[in-house]
Amino acid sequence: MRIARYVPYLVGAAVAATFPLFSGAYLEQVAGATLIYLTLALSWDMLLRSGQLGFGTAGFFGLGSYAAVLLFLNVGVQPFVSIIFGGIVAGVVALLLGLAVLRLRGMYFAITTLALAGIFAVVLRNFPSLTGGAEGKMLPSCIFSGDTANVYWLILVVAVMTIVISEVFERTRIHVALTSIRNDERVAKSSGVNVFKYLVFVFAVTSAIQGIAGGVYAHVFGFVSPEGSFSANFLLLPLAMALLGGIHSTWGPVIGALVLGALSEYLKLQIPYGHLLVYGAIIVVVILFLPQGLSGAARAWRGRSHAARGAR
Amino acid sequence: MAVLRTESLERRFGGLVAVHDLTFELAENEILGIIGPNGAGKTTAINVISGLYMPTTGRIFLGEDEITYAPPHVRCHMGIGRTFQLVHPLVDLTARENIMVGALFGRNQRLRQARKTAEEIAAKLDLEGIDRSVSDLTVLEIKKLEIGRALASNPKVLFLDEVMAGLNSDETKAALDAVRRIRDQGVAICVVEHVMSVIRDLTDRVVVLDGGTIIAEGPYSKVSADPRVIAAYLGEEE
Amino acid sequence: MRLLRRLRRGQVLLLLVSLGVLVLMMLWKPYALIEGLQRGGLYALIALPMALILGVVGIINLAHGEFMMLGAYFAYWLGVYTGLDPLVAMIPALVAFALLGAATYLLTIRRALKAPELNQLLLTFGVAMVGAEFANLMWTSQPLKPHLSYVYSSMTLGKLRFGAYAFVYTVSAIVLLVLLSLFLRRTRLGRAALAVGQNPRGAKLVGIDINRTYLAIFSLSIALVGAIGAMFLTRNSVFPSAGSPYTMKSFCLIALAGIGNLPSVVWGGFGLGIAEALVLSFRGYGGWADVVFFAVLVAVILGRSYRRQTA
Repeated sequence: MRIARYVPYLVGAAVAATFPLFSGAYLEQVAGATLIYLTLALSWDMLLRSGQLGFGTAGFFGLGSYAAVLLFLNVGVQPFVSIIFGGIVAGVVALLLGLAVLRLRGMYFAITTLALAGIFAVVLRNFPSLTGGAEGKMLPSCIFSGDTANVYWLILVVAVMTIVISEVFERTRIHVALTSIRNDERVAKSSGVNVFKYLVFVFAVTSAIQGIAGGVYAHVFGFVSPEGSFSANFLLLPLAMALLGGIHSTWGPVIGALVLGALSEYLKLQIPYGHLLVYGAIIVVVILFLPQGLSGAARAWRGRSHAARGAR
Repeated sequence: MAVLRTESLERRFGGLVAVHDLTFELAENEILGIIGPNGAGKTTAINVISGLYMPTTGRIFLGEDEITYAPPHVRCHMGIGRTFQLVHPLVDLTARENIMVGALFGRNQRLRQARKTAEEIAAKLDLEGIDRSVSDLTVLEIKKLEIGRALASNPKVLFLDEVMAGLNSDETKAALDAVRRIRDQGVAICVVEHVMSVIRDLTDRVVVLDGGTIIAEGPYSKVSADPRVIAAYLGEEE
Repeated sequence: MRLLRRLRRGQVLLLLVSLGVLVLMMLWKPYALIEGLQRGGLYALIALPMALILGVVGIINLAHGEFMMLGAYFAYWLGVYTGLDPLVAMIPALVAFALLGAATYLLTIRRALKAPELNQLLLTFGVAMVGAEFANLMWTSQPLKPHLSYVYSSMTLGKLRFGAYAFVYTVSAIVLLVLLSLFLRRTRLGRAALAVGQNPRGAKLVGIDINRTYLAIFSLSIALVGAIGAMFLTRNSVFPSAGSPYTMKSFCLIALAGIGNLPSVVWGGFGLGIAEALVLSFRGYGGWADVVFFAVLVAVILGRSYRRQTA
C-alpha cells in the first residue's frame, strides 16, 4: 500500500522528464514558462510559511536576470555559472536588505519588498554604460541556441531543485521553526527559536531561488530590460498560483502553477489585452472565499468524506 | 548561590511604571509563589525576566551569568522556561511538534531525539495522543502542552503563569503533584497564581506584588496574615 | 489629536529645522525649493487619505494609488465627452468614487476585517491589480493627458520665474489637512472614527456602529483619492501603472510620520518633495530621485527597530 502513495509522484515525474519527447516546440515553451512561474510561486510560498508576506519576487527575479547577463557579457563565463551568480547576487542583496528591514514585519516588510522591483529597475537604469539603460542588454545568442527541449529540461531542473528545497523546509526542523514563528512569534522566541535569524535565512534563500529563475529566463530569451525583467507579471502570477493551489505547502503552489499555467495560454488567446485581470480577480476571490486554496479544499472534502465513511 | 536573581528591576511603558524596584531571588529546587491583585505587574515581571521586554533599569542574573539584555531565545538556551497566561498553542503544528519546539530550539536536539523527548515529557504530564492536531485537544490538554513545551527546553527556572485556573479539585491535585515532580528533577519554579489554596500547598515562599513592586515576602502563613497584603486585595481561599 | 500635546517640543524642533532648510534652499537652490514644494504638495495630498484609513481605522489599502489612477481616467474621459475641466470634474469624482469605495468595501474589505493583516494586504493587492489591469484593458498603456493652458501659467518673484500652477497641490494639501483635522475632532462621524480606531470594542459598547463607521471612512478616503486623481491629471499624464508609486510613497510618509499623525504626513510630504527636487537639480543624478523615498523608508524602519530593541 505504501508504494501506491508514491505512484502519482512517479507518474508525474516520468511525464515531466520525458515531456519533450512527445510534444512540440509550442508546448515545450508553455511548459517552460509554467515551470518558471512554478519556481517563483513555490519560493514565494516558502517565505510565506514563516508568516512574512513578501512582494519582492519580480524584483529579485529581475536582479538575477541582470546579474547573470552582465557577468556573462563582461566576464565571459559559462551561462550556467552566470545563472548561479544571478542567484547569489539576489541572495546577498536579500540578506543585506533583510538584516535592515526584517526587524519590523507585517506591512512594513510587505511594502518595502513591493517597492523593490521599481527600485532595482531605477538603479540599473542609472548606469547605462554598464546596463544599457532603458534599452537593456541583448545577448549574442540564446542558451542552447533556442532549442526548446533543452531549455525545458534546464527549467525543469531548476523547478525540481526548488521543490526539493521546499520539501526540506517542510520535513526538517525548519518546518517547526517557521510554523512556530508564523503562529506565534512570542512563543517561538521564548522556546529558543532565533526568529530573526530564521527570517533572514528564509528571505535570502527564497530570493536566491528567484534570482536563479531570473538568470535562466534571461538566457532563454536573450535579453534584459528594466520594463521586461522586472515586470509585475512575475509577481502577480506566482501569487495567484500559490493562493489558488493552496499556500503553506509544496504541492499547493505546484498544482496552482500547473492549473494557471495552462489557463494563461487559453486566456491569452481569448483576451489578448488585460487578461492579467483574471489573476488579480483570482487573488481577491481566493482570499475571500477559498483561503486554503484548491488543495486545502480537497483536503477538507476528503476529511469530511472519511468522517462520513467512518460514521457509517 | 541563587539560581535566579533580580536587582531593582524596572520596566516603564511611556509614563506608566509597570514594574519597579523588583528585587528577589529564587533558590535551587525552590517553589516560589508570586501573588498580587490584577494589574500588579506579575505577568510583566515574567515578560521582563524571560526577555520579551527589556528592563528600563535593573539587572537580572541566572546563576553567575547576567542576562539583563539577552534576547529571549538566548535566555531560553541558558535555562529560562515559561508558560503563557492566555494559552497560545501553535495551531498549525501537532501536539507533539508543539512540545518539540522547546526540545529542538531550546535544547538544540536533533529531530529524532526531539520527537522522543516530546513523548517522554508528554508521558510525564499524562498527555496522550500527541500526534493529534491542536484543535482536537481539550483545555486541560492544551495547558499540559504549554508546560510540556516549556519543559522540553530543559529549563533551570520555570515560570508557570496561572496554569491552575479553571481546574477541578482532582485536576488541581494532579497538577500539584506534577509540579512537585518537576521540582524534584532539579527545576526551580516560580508560580503566579490567584488560587490561594494552590499557593498555600505548593510553595516554599511567597512574594506579593502590588502596583508593580514587592510589598511582602515570606512563607504563605506569614504573608497571608500580613495586613498590607490583605489590604492590597482579599485573596480567595477555595 | 492625542499626540499633539506630546509633540510640542518635537514640533518646535521640526519647525526650526524646516525654517533652516527653507532658508538654505532659498539661497542655494531656489528652483529646487519651488519644485520640491509643488511635488511635495502632491505627495502630502495623496498620502492624507491613506493616513486617514490606516491611522484611524487600521486598514491598509494597497490599491490606494490605483484609485487615484482611476480617478484621473474618470476625469479625462469626462472631459472628453462633456468638455468638463478636470478641476471641476473633482466634484462628480468625489461622488463617483465614494460609491466605488463603498462598493469595494462592502464586496471585499469588510470580509477581511477580522482576518490577519496579511489577508488585507493580499486582498488589496489583488484589488490593485484588478484596477490596473482593468485600465490596461479599457484604455491600453498609452499615457493620456488633456491640454490645459492654465497649468503653464508662470509667476515672477524677484529674480525667479517659475510655474505657479502646481502650488495648487501644496495649498490643497494644507487645506485638506485642516479639513480632516476639523472633521475628526468636530463631527460626530469623525469622533466615532477616532474612537473606533483606538478601541473598536469599547466603541461598540458605547453604541457606535463600527461597520458603518468603517464603511463611511473608507468611502470618504476613496472619494478623496478619486478627486485627487482628477487634480493629478491637470499636470501629469495618466496610464495604468501611474498610481503604484504613489501608494508606496504615501506609505513611506505615513511610516515616517507615525501612524495616526496627520500633520507630520504633510511635513514629510514637503520634505520628500524637496529632497527629490534637490536630487533632480544635480545634473546627471536625476535618475536617483525615485530612490529617495525608498532610502527614507529603510531608514525609518532601521530607526524604529533600533528604538524597539533598546525599549
